Amino acid sequence: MVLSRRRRLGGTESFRAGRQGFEPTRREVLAGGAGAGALLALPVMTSSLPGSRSAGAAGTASSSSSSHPWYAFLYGTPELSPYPGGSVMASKSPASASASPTTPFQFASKLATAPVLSPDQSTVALVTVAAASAGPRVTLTLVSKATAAVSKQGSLTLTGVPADASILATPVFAPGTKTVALVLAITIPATAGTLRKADAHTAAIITAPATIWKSHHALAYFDSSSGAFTGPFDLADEPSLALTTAAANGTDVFVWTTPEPQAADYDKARPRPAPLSSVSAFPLGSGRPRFSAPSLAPWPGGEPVVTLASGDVARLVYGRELQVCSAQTGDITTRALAPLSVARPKPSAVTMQARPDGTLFITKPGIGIAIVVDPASSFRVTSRVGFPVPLAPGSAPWSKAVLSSSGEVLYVTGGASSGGVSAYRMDTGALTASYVPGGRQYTGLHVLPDGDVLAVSPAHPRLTFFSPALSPLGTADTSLQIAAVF
Amino acid sequence: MAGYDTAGEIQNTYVSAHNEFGANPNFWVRYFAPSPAADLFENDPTSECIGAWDSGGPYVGCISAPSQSRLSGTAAEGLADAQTFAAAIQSAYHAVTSLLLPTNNQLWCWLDQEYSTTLSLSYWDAWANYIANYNFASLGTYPLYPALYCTPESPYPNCTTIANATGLDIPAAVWSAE
Repeated sequence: MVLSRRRRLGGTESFRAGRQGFEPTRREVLAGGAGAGALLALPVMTSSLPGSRSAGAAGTASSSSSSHPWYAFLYGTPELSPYPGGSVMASKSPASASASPTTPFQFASKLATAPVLSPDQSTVALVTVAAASAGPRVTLTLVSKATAAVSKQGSLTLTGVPADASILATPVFAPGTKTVALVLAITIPATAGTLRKADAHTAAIITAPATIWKSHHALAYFDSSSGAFTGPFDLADEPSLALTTAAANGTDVFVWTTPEPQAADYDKARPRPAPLSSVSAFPLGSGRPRFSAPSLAPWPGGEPVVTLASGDVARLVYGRELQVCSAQTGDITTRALAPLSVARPKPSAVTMQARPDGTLFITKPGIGIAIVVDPASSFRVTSRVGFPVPLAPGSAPWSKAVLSSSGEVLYVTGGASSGGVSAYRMDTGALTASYVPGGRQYTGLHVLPDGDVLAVSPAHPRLTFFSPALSPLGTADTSLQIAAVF
Repeated sequence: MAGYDTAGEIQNTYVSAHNEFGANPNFWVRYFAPSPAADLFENDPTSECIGAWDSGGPYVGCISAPSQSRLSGTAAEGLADAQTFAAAIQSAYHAVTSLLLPTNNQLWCWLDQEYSTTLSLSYWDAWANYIANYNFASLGTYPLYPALYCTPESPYPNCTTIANATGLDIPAAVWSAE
């Protein structure tokens, strides 16, 4: 984009790759969207394993047991062409320091979205979308982290939605209930003649079918006791942007949506600001909002969001500010988080997690900070730990600083020069343990419910398990390039 | 002097950047939605444009840095992220009268792929195709071009996935972090 003067942006290398003169079909473009998701392996269907436990209703299983083993679900991309997205492998933690970790096994492929972990960390929700004659079929599967067994599964057919629609499905656990809301973004293509534009390198005119995509949203509700869906309820909000942010408390699901700006409504000579998003509260089980209220910028788009103990919902925006949405009215209160307001040229990973005691655990590894804030005390920062900035603080996985189940120990990936993993006391910030195996760089961490720590690396072997005191328990490998751990 | 790539607002960055580097930038690269950890250009594009003009580098490149795990996701996620990115750029364009497209009608739109993040072909194809196919401001000239910022020495498979891209999905440019 150019300001009043006209010159092409410089400072970059040109590049070409792949074949010329071949246009993928719309269905090829959508491969991995509607059409082909599958759960591949469900190897532990009973509670017969040592240390296994009933999955129970969604989000209700114990998360504090010290029994072994537990499963980590690895999400990412297989390192084999054609590199389909949305694969999941399951990895079992070692049963003891003397036991070797087992080889992870493939669990699911071509998920419609990344897995979602229940607020109590006991259950993982997986969504797949498959083509069917009556319309895309959305399947929600709840899997126990204790057993890797399916606790409940249900499907929903989006009747009347064309097969080439793009379906984005986001599960939202409603804490303290058996309900999992499913926020669906349905994006439907329409042909719009022929596109003609200059090739970026040769300036030759290339042609292709032009497509216009229009999105709207729908809500459905999954009962984790019966396995039945209610809905879908069409929110009749076309044209909207497909991206949403959503969270739920025990009575409502809150959904942020944004109207898609339509060029026809704008005039270059009469400038107007970007449209505002809105937040709507839907009583669980309903497609009719209890209220809809304008929200503050930014548009919803992957920012961390949690439900507070009060039932209000907090978004962490710009990596440094909390926007707290009243569950009663939709009014939004902004809270600046001073320790996070440190400018850096590149955005950092940011994470936010609601703790069982009602506090919020927030990390920003790009500035080497982890904090705990107390919403019940005007969002006061109750503890703060500084640590060396990791090698790639914005890379996947974003979980570069994680908290032990007790909340007493902070585990972080090592600094850019040292690598390894370190542990700090969350109350004092004191370094208590480090594991630095020759500068090996880990890119993400995950605390299992039994307290063990899983560190992932882009280099083989990709998985290293540690005891809570950071004693190595063993390594395991996977062909999956890991983007997140659940 | 090359450009400044900043997650902060231009008007709040250029003085300190000038003090650090001792020169005016030729251009800026700024973040647009979905970039959940950055200040976003489209939130106050007028002030950003004034800041860019005053800095002596009145050109703005557009980059989006989604949550990195999404880049390992599906076509639906890639399409949704591209849809928001294109809408954010168009919103900024419509908010500032003097904000214009390049004279060659090619605006490279960067996807930020960080070190150790792997890009799935499903995500890239859908993302790139939406950007290339976006009828920006109803001009009918399709001026947006997909481009990739990445770290080529990052562990395999990294960004090698784009070698499988075809047609409109081929990146107009790759910007190396090194």
